[in-house]
Order: sequence, then C-alpha cells, then structure tokens
Amino acid sequence: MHRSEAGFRRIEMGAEMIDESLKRQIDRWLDDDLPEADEVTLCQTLASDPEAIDFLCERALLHQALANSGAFVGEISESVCEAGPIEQRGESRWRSVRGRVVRPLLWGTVTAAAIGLLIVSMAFVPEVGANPARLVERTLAEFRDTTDRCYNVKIEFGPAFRRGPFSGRQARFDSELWVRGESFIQTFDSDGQSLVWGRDVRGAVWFSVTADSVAIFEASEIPAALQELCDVRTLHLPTLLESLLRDCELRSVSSDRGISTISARPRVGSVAKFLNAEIEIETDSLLVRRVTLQRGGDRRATATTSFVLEQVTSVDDSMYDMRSHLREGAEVFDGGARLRRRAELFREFLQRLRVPQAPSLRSSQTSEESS
Amino acid sequence: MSDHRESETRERMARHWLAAEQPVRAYIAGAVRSFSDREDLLQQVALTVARRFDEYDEQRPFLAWALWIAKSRIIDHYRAGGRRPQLLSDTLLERYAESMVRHQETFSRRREALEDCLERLPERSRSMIQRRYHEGLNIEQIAAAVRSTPASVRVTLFRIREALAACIDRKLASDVSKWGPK
Repeated sequence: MHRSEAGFRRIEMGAEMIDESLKRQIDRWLDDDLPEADEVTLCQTLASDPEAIDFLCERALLHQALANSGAFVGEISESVCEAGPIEQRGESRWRSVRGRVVRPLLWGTVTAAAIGLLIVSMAFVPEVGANPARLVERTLAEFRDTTDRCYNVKIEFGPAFRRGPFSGRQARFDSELWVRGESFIQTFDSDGQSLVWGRDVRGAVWFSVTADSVAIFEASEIPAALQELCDVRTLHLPTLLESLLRDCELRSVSSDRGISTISARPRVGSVAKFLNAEIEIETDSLLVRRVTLQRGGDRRATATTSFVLEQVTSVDDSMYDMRSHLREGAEVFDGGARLRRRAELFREFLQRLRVPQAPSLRSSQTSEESS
Repeated sequence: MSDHRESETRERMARHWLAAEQPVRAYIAGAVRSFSDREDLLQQVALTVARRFDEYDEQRPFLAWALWIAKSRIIDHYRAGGRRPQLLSDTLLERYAESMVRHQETFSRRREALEDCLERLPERSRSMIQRRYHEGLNIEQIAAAVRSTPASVRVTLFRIREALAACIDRKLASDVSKWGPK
C-alpha cells in the first residue's frame, strides 16, 4: 500500500476509535469555547491517547480549511470582484467560481494572511524599522485590546510647579496601572492610604480613597474634568497612537536590539494633550514598552508621566471590578442619590492626587461633627 | 546580498510560507486557546521565519522547520507571565508537529474535497458554517442569531463537522481507488 494511503487509513481508523466526548472537547477547544475546568481533562487525554493527537491535528486542519474555504490566494481577485461592497456581505450567497463553491471574502482571514505574508516580505527591508510613522501605524494595526498590560507609572513634577500653592506636592508619584481595552485600574500609595480608581467594562469610572466608600460615574455622566484625568493619567494606547500619527511630527531617536525609540512633537495648532512624547516599541512584537509624556503650558513642562511596561499577561476579570478593591459593605455613591457626597468624594480624590498629605475631607467633617 | 539574490530569496521564502501558512495556523490553533493569542503567535512565527530564513536547509521540509519555530514560540508564550498550564506538553507539541507534517501530504486534496462537500450541505448547515467561520461569530452569538441555545449550536456544529470529515474521507478514498495514489 502507498505510504500516504496507509497513513490516511490509519488516521481514519484512529479517528473512528476516538471517543465522541473527546471529539466534542477538541471542537470546543478549537472554537475557543472549552470551559477552563475541562482543559485539564483534555490535557490528560491528549497525553495518554496517541490517536487523540492525530485527531486534534486533523480537526485543526478542518477548522482552518473551513475558515479559509474559497479564500485561497489564487482566487482572491475573482472573489473580490464577486463579493461586492463590504456593506452587502451579510446578504451575499456563496457563488461558484471555476466549479468551486466560494464565499464572499472573510476580510479578517484574508487580511491576516496578507499581514503574515507582508511581515515575511517586510522583514527583508531594513528601512521599515527606521520609518517611525510606519512603525507607529503597524503598532496601532496590531494592537490587541484583549490582553492585560501592567505599567509602572511615574509622575515627576517640575520644580516650578512645586512652589507656592503646590508646595505640598511630592516630587515623584508612583502607581501601578492595569489596562485591558477600555478598562483600567490604577492604584496609588498616597501617604500610606491606598488610592484606587478604574473604568469597568461598561465604561463607568469609579474611585475610592479609603476602600470604605466608592463614587461611581456612569459612562453617560462623566464630567469633563474626570474625562481629562482619564486621558492624561491612564494609557489608552489606540488613542495615543492615533494622536501621534495625526497630531505630531515623528522622529526616530534610536533603534537598538530590536527596540525603536520614537520622539513625537505636536504640530502647531494640533490638539495633542502633551508638549512632547517619547515612545519605545519592540519592533518584533510591536509591544509598546515605554511611553513618556511631558505635560504643561506655554511650552514649559509641569509634569512628566512615564509608563513602563512591567508585564503582559492574562488576569482575572475581577481585577477590573471595583468590588475587588473595596471593603465589604463599602458605601456606594452613584448618580441615583447623595450626589453631593459623590461630588465631595471626587474633589477629595483629585486633591489626593495633587497633594497626597492633604487631610481627608471626611476626617475633617467627622471632627467638625464631633466638636 | 545583491538585489537579484535578495529578490530570489524573498520569492522562495514567500512561496514556502504560502504553502505552510495554513498548517502552521492549524498547529497554533490546536495548542493555544484564544483567537487573538493565535494571531499574535502566527505573526511572531512569520517574523522569525523571515529573520532566520538563511538558516533553513532547503533539503528538509519547510513545514517541519516552520513548525519547530512555532513550537518554540508556543512554549515561550505559555512561560511568559504566568499563563495557564500548556495544553500540550513539550513532547506532545513535538508529536503534534510530526502529525501535522504527515497530514500535509493530503492537505491540499482534503481542502479541494471540502469545497465539494460544502456544496452538498443543506442550506441551514451551510448558513451555520458561514456564521461561525466567515462572519466570525462565537457560539453564543450564533445562538442569539438563530434563536437557539449555545448547547444546541455546539451539537449542530459538531454534527456538521463530522459529516464534512466523513464526506472528505469518502472522496479521498474514492479518488485513491479510481486514480491510484497521487
């Protein structure tokens, strides 16, 4: 018997011998739909059953072929002509081209394949890494907002800003920032107290000064001052990268050991929210490793905020849930009631960010009440 | 490297990559959970292949070499930043790559057979496949779209895939008996 035929029959027989529940588990794994608890079982079965690996292979190829059916490279141009405008794709039917069934293009798959090929081709062109705008564009295009990134954030205030009414300011202010898509959570150690704020998956912004209470602004009621704070204190990479491309002159500062450093200076009349910025990008992975933003007015820097990437990982959803950062029974001040108390908490939170040693409004209130 | 040689090398590499990309994608999908991680890894593999193409020995199968790179990237991916345990141990990843190379022999014929088999699917099943793979909907989204439950969608998709796999096997077996092994 010919080798490929023998191999094929063996695989076919192997697949027949595979338990149906295992087949279902493998399908669910490939669909990114397998519950975490079942992963361990699947892992053990794959390790103990040699036929299971062949089945996994066969099934992974089937899933891949299904995702790509009709979108083979040689057929791209014909399919594009047939597929019509993107807006009509949902209503399109599969059509026959050269006796084969093809479907309207799955743009994501084709784009991904094209990107793969593009990467392979581009890796031979050394000047790609040296073009800062193109590198920022690629970083923006490849940005994945499903990963969790942890940054160490340092804010250093300029000497001029620490005189007079701002003399209470620390010269440096460290915090830890976790970001996933639009959500973030940032914790500061403010004079021994843990100051924490975040934005949840619904877009609501919340903050807590003592973990005994929390103020919440729903996405539709976020005041301008709070929005401004979100923009300058947290790192929403797509917004920043878009602003770099749209508003700034970009210059390559250095490129060493796979890390490119790019400096950005806003063009005259642009709406950029910084005086200048510096960004470090890993050219292989397109990960943003460091961002430094200088803020201020009249061309004088008042504060420098630097975000240094500590880790890229996957954390539990509860990280971005305010309940994980509050004590049990914490008071909640939202838009429903006690608006005044929520406004006071917001003021206190801002004050703590500016002058960490400021007395708590609540403690001063309590002492007034007791006297 | 002269311009002419560089262009030849690039063309050779692009040709190899085009032939290997689908099995490499399938390999990563079998070893790594989330869609976005799979895409990230594929691009890392593509970059490494490009950077290290001069190390590739043309006497050996390109897919085996590309899968060896993919295997290292998958191991790095799991080890970086305390991710969940690997679904496939390092040894199993090796065995999985060998299986993928063996399947490559029939991959293009199976893909062609799949196109014929898809034509024969009932409209409802075809629409389910379209939603899942071409519109990129997940199980819950498909269930919502067809007003069914996720469990029922899973069962339906499983049956369709089983039917397609059986159809492909039959077509390949009949090709072998009609024309002899290719």
